[in-house]
Amino acid sequence: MKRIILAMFVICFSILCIGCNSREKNYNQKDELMEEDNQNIEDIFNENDTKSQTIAQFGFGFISENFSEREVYEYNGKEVCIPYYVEGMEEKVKADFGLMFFVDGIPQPYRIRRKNGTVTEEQFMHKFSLGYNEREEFDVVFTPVAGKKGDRIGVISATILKPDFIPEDENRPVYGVYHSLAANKPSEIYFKSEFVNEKELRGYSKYVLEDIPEELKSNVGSEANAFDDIDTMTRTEIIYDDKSKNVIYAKNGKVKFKFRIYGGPEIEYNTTIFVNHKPVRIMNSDYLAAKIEKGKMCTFDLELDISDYERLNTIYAISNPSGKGYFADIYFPIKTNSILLVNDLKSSTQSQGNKNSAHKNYLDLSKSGTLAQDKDYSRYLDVDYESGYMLLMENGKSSPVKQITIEKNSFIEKALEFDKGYIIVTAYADRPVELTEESGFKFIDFPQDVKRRLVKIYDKNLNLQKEIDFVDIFPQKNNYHQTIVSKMTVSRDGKKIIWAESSPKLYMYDVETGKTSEILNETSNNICFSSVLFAGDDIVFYGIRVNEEGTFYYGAFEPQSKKMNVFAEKNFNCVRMRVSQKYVVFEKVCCI
Amino acid sequence: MLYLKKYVVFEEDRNPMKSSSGRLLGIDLQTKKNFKMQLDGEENNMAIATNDGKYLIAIKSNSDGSHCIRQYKLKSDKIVHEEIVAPEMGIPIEIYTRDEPSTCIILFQKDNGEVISCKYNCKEE
Repeated sequence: MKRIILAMFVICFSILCIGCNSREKNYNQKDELMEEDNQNIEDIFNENDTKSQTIAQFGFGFISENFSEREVYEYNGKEVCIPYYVEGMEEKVKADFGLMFFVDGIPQPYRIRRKNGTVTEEQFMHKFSLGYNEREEFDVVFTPVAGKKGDRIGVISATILKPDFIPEDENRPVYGVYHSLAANKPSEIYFKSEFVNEKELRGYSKYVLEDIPEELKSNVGSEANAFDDIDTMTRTEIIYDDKSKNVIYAKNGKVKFKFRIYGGPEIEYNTTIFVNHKPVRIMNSDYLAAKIEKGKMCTFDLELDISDYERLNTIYAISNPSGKGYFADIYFPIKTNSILLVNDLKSSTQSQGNKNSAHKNYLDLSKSGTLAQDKDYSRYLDVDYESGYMLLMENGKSSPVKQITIEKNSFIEKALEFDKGYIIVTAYADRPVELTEESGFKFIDFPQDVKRRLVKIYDKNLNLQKEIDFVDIFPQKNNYHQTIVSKMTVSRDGKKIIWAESSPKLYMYDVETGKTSEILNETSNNICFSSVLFAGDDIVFYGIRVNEEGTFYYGAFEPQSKKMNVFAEKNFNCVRMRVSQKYVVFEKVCCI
Repeated sequence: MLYLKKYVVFEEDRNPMKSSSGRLLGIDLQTKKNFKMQLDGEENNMAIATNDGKYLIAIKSNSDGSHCIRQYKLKSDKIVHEEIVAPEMGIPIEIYTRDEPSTCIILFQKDNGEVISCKYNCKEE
């Protein structure tokens, strides 16, 4: 599924903007790609299969007559002046984007000087909303934030799509392709004169350098494109407490998170943290400085005070090569995903809703005939790493029915429920789960380097029934064990475990006999499974076909008869299946 | 009592470019035939068919923090019943069925982490 999403993103990106200097040799290639993919893009965002929708198309770039060489702008003691253009290219919708510049990898505030002589205020991002064929030509004017006499340093421009977008609901902090970054190729500034930096910017370089975990090398858990080679493509991520929600909550106005950068050529990067598209000082510094080393990952521990911000904000990081790194044959700037940043000191619409809710006609559970508190089935599993226990809880009771000690240097990686008990995957690493607390806000850091996994089968009262070494179930010698754990599922009777590897292969493990069998492979199936679930005697699934983007395949498979029913749907971005029967597996207690 | 009719529905990820399409895909596992439904807005992010195959229960988040539980007639766009749940109940985190014909279980989680399990009993048409 990740492949589909990423592929869509790439296709979207190619039509959204043409961020090429007209002198760049790949202009035509990109232009052609835009034409080829146009239909696909329209399909992706159509409303009801009959009406298409394009998000935006626009062009931007340096104005130059030099088609073959890197443009060089001189700094001779006066402001640098760069002729630039932006242009809307879509008939039906306006192109909304923000334009940024970076000098030596550092955000560059700039002014826009138009031909009529008007000059804007200095800002890090100027926003544009352009209609079809609406073109603006102007000079970008600034005093460089970095450089000294004799230096040749990189300058690059980049656009952020729909910068004004921010999720309105913190329960649904989704950005999609909004805030996507597109960029030109870099140009150069040559410092003919000595540069007097009024305010020297400070870099922060206290980071932990460690081996890149195997899971990240195989792209699991990273934001990187699955097709990227870790030795050629640098990856960046903001890591926070619960990544699955794409939201970071402040505690007393402060947020704590990590930033990591790894992969690609061994060059130096400057990274800036942005809040609401403005660079912020962090750790008393203006930017983060890191040097990429082959096979290593740089991780920064960061803390930010957002107490003066509104409740809902957007945070992301943008990294650029510094020094001569901008000559490297890599794509940059590199932007992390946009993440919703919530300032807990400011009230929310929802909080307002809570205050007013007594006056609204909400459902009264005690009187309702349709929805009532469930008294029959109130047990669930919980994991408390603070106390070091896995807990069998009962709704409405504060003390657990039973608790099991989590062994040293281990954590619960997966919990599946079946009719007579639970299957728990316990991961063992060389260090324990690390808990940190800042202003009452707790962070859980799970070890990435898992040495061993045990599959433990418990009854409903959490009594251990069986223990199986993970490699006895999943004998494949590969680096995808974390993926397998995330995709494994159990039959309602707890006797069968199945899993897929994003390939046409489907495996089944018989808990009683201890045997693993391949029940589907390339010869019998051409669907690469994104997800599989038991549904009674059937196995239901969804996935894609190799080399066929944009079509979602789903269906049911009968393991006994080997009969498979497959259906196809265009542009359906499936996130989960739900099976209607009592013992459907759900994963709510996984990796708490 | 075990109900042999089984259904699977496929939920679509939310597309921030526009309101969700509301398109929902499903398979009747007894007949092995697929079906489609058109729900309102983002409800297809959390929806399940009842075991008797009569209804589809879908949950939609409202801007004021409340949640709307809608009961659709399965394989149609007809809304049979709906309830609005106050924000104080928390956020719906899971929906599933047990061995009962026209019910489903919805788990709500409050800000303090407390999980509340509620049973939705379908209204007959």
